[in-house]
Amino acid sequence: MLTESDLVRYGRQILYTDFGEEGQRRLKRSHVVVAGLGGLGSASSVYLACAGIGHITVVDGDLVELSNLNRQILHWEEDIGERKTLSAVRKLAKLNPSVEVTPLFERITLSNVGGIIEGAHTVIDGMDNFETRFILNSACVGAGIPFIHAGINGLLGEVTTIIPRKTPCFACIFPQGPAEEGAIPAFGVTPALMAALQVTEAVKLLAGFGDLLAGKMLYYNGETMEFTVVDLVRDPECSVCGF
Amino acid sequence: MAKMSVTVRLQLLLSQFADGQEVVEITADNNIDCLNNLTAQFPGLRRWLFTKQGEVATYVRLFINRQQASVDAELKDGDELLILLAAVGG
Repeated sequence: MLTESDLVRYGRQILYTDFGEEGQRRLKRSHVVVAGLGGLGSASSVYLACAGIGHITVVDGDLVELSNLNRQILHWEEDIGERKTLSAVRKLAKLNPSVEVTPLFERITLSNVGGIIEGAHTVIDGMDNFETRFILNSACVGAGIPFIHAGINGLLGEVTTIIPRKTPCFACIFPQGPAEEGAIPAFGVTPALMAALQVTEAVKLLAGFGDLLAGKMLYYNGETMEFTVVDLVRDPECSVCGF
Repeated sequence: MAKMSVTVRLQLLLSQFADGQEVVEITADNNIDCLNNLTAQFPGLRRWLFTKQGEVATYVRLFINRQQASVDAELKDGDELLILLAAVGG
């Protein structure tokens, strides 16, 4: 049920023909998990809250550091030393008090991932490492929850939407991750752009319209301003979703 | 059998190890042949594309004419091979 305030707040997106009031009601009933509150997760949680996702769970086990502030727009100078989850909840509550935000101050592991994603309608990848993405991917495939992946490196970015058992999963695309290579170059705008694309995917997925990057990977090259979309294929011998 | 001429497109990260070229013409019959010939021409690329054991690194993705392709996929004359590395950061 949309309130009078909802109709005003979301009025401009409700005007979108394929979305409308029913789309908004669907977002309001939705629960999205944002896994990681770095450059990607900061921006995606802001746009999820703006869009009126009814329940957002934000997960991160880190504290805010000065070196985060060039790209993690949810965290400010005054938040240094604070839990990223608390910093996020405070900002998101001011941005849109009608959205329920649940903070989970923990690192995602094999043992806790099931509880973290339980009941979610989609999971947004805001991680900065492969290991945790593998954990999330396996759990999402197992639970049948769509997983919207993004990654960045400098002015490069990538996005794909993983629909369990229907599209290639993360492990089909990357059977193994690269060796850890330390700090990765990052401008704030690259994760912001990729996060905006992730939320675009989430809104379409949850409201039920448009075409998704399902089985496709969008690559962005900010240095040449090229967007490239390629087709991905499922691996029948994939250790996670093989058939 | 005549070798096939293939257009190889390199991701930005990789092009810096190919004298700044994002597009390179390579002669090869299949993807692994193409990667070997490419790295023979630009040795600086080798550590990004292959493991120390000489296998293609698992975070390297290959697309023939924008379709995901395996390491041993065959190439035809005029094909475009796009080589991308995973973007890990967030």
